Amino acid sequence: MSRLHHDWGVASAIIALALSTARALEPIPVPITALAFSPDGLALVSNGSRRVDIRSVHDGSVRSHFPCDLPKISAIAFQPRGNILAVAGGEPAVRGEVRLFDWRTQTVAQRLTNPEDLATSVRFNTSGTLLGVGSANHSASVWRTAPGSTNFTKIFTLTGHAGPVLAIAFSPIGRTIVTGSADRSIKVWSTEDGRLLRTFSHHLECVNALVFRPQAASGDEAFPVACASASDDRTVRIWQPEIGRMVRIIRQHRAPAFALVYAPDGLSLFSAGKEGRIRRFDAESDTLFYEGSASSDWIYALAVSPDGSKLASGDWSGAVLIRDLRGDK
Amino acid sequence: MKFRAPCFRSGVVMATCLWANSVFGGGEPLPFRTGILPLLTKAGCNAGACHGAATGQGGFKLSLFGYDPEEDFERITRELGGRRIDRAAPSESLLLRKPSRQLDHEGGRRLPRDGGAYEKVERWIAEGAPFGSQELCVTAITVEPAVSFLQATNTTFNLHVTALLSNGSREDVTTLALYSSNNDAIADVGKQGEVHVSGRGVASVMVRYSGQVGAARVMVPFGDEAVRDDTFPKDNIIDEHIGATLKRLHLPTSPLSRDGEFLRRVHLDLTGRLPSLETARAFLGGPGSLAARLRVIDDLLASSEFVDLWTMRLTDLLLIGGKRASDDATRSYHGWVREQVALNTPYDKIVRALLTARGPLLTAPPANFFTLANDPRDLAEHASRIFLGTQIACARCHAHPADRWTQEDYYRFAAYFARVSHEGNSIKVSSRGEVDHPKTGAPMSPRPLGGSTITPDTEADRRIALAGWMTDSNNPLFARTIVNRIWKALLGRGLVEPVDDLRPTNPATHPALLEALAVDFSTHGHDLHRLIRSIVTSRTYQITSRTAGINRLDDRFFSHAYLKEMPAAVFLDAVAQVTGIPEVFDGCPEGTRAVQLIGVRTPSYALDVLGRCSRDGPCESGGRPGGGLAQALHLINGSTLNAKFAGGIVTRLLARASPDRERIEELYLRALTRLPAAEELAEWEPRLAAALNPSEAVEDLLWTLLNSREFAFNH
Repeated sequence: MSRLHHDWGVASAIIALALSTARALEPIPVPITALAFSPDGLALVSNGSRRVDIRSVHDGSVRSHFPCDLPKISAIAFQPRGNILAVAGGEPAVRGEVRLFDWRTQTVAQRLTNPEDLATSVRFNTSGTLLGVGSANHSASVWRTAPGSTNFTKIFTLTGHAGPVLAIAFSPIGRTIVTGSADRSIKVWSTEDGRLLRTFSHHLECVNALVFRPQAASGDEAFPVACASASDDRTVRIWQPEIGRMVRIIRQHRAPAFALVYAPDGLSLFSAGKEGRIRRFDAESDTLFYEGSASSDWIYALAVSPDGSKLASGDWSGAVLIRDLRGDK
Repeated sequence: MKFRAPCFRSGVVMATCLWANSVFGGGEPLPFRTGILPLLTKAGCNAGACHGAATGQGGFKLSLFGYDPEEDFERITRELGGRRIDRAAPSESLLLRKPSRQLDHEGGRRLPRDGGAYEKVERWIAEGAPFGSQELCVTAITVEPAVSFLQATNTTFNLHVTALLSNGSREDVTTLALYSSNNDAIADVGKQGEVHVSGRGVASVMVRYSGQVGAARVMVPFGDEAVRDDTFPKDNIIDEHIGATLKRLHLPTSPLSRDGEFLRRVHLDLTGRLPSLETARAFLGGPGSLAARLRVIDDLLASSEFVDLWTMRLTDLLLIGGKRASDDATRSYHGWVREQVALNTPYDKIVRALLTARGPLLTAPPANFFTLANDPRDLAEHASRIFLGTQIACARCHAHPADRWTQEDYYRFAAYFARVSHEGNSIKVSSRGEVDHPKTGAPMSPRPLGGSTITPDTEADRRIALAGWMTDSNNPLFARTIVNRIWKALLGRGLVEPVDDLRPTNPATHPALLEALAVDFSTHGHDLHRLIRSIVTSRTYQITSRTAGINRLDDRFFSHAYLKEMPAAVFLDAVAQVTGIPEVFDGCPEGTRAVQLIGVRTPSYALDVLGRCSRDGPCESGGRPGGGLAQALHLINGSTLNAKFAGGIVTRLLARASPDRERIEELYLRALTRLPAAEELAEWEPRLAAALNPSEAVEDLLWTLLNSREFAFNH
């Protein structure tokens, strides 16, 4: 693979640039805070204005939508090996909710309510049987379902953060859950009983995003579990949460980083944030593959298609940008 | 390939503007900086007790009083995924629901739903929550009336505040400005600028709007009766200004001080010494003319004791010999300062020498100024406080809430000191070194406080440009600051208080006098002797401290002399002088007086308990902070007085075959520069006559005098 830096606007192969502010469909664009590719890679889903937008994976334009009357939608996640689309959000400072939709029918399957404040983040484990929900009320909750079922039951509430929980992620080997918070800490919890295992207090500002490196990258079961975190302190840090180790610090960001995503093969890590730039790092060495401007505004959300060929980003202005990653290889 | 970092903030602002204009057909949406932020400021959202606190409140932080509009804009519109506004349903925005108390809000109802501010914020969100023009800002405010002279209390009137915007337009911002009075007992001010005057005297109302500050003065005569014009003969420009103000305020003036009162005062003020017995007797026995007073003043100004005292004053100001300084360097620095005082070196020349000094601390004494701190920011704060009477420390973290200084002003000023370093025993200046803005990380080119021109970046010593700007006669703060300090040293109260806090919102009691003295000082070569002489020869300086009628209420217009607490060193020297037993300081030659000590590390429990300036920080109070129980007990029963009764004056008085009356008179003259009154003689003569132990009786008299309020104060 050629690991050259490429300017976003010059060398990369952008399939389509669509500043889909949705003005044609609606007058008021909302900040894009949630993006996810469907498991089959045929659709890109984002938050809309009290609805969920289904977008073209080619140009990011809104093709259709279905209602979701949460005043704010913070995060979206597809259930691996299942048909559930989880949409987290709520009414700021009033209530939070994760609405579970049957993706095939786009109908509500279940509502997981969350008291006091927004559900800020939502994530399934790799088997799709556990659902983690971070909340602005300083807690997180973990819900369980049986394979094939759409009925989720709460099994833990994770308390201990001193600020809104902004990110949650499951270890790919299933032992731990990590949460990141505005209180600047990352906490590691046991998936068995919800016990707090350890706290990382290395970040100097809010922890905005957490993502585990897919295990497929190594093809080796003994490969250490790695998790990346993005923070307002302008760093991305790589952790081994299960052994309590901070591995590396990526310092190339010149402004807070809000979004992180690994390529499905685990070889690349993408980051974006306040600078409006997207960076692609070598997941092994943190070498910067490229960086480039992708927005004139804050980028809140990133998503990679299941086949690793496309990267979607969403910003405050409501614009969604699709980038063809095949041109980078 | 290198990538150019985008000007992100500009990007955000531009994108928002484009979006807003496109959606709303190019109309003029409300700008954030001048349209929305003032509303939030007025509502108190960004006050220090609310979201303007260093860590914010409830996870929401705003800049204190809105000093950083761009950051506030980002926090409101973009932080946490844009949680605080809902452009699709503006009324559902947290920014409105919380302060209107539709949702629980610890800060209470700040934006009522039926209020104009709520409507404007709602409209702004509906318009896309744009920042608006980046250039448009408030450049100044005017407050009308700037001075209100009222004849009676229980009066109410309204202030009117006009903002001048960068596009040249003017806007009435009376209802949006913030008001605070420095004396609620005289003038209380409401949220809409309505001033209710309930007391007599002078008060200032500080007005703040969009990072700009202004002030209005309210004056009410102390009495209903006008004072006669001839009660205050005017000897010079000082008396003209003071007299005019007193006349306006219907404040009668106390008469000229008696000769003894004047003699004691001027000796202590100019030399830190009490008049000797012989001097007191000669002066009190003389003609008592103003010419005789002038001769005393000129003699004192030419004395070595004058040099001692004013060297101490200057070394206190420059914080010479604090914890960080070495003994040898302190001695060298102190010697240099003493030489400048003795030579009456022009003050601007002294300051230029200090600000541009470099080299070994022992052979380049003024370079010791830079041992005050290692950090350019600390040095900038010292320089602005000492030489410009201006406190800029607030602006290290945020815009000064009561002055015009921004973070940019602060860091640009600090940049003058970025290339100075203290290496070994030497001050070095390199051709590299910058001060970065804490938020942008950008290196700041040096710029004077309040100046508009950035000093060109060359390899030349930046401090030379700083010293030139600072001591320039066009710099309004430089001369005013030293004039005000010397005024305070002699009159007991500065024309501006505190003396290190000159700012538009802390106006002088006599602005025209301060200006006139500053101009006179500048145009006469920054001559300290001349300034001091001008003040002490004025009638204002020489009136008595005894009050006359309602001028007892005056504590700032100089209708009578104010009591001045003696600096610790002066007090200790006075005790030694009266008792005839010198204080002994370890490591110092015999006969060394406290005011002659170099630095502050000479051990002296007496000086410590009396509150000498530690010189680790500002000592503008004159070196006797507090007082307290320890000081009182020490003077009543401690070694400083008790060890000085045996021997010394008590022994000498008793050794003389003189009547008790003479002994009493001598002690009064020595301690208070006056003869005892008839009732005082009537108290002490019988005591001394009946005493079985005459020594104890004289000691009792001396103890009583030294513990009297009349002795402890320069009056």
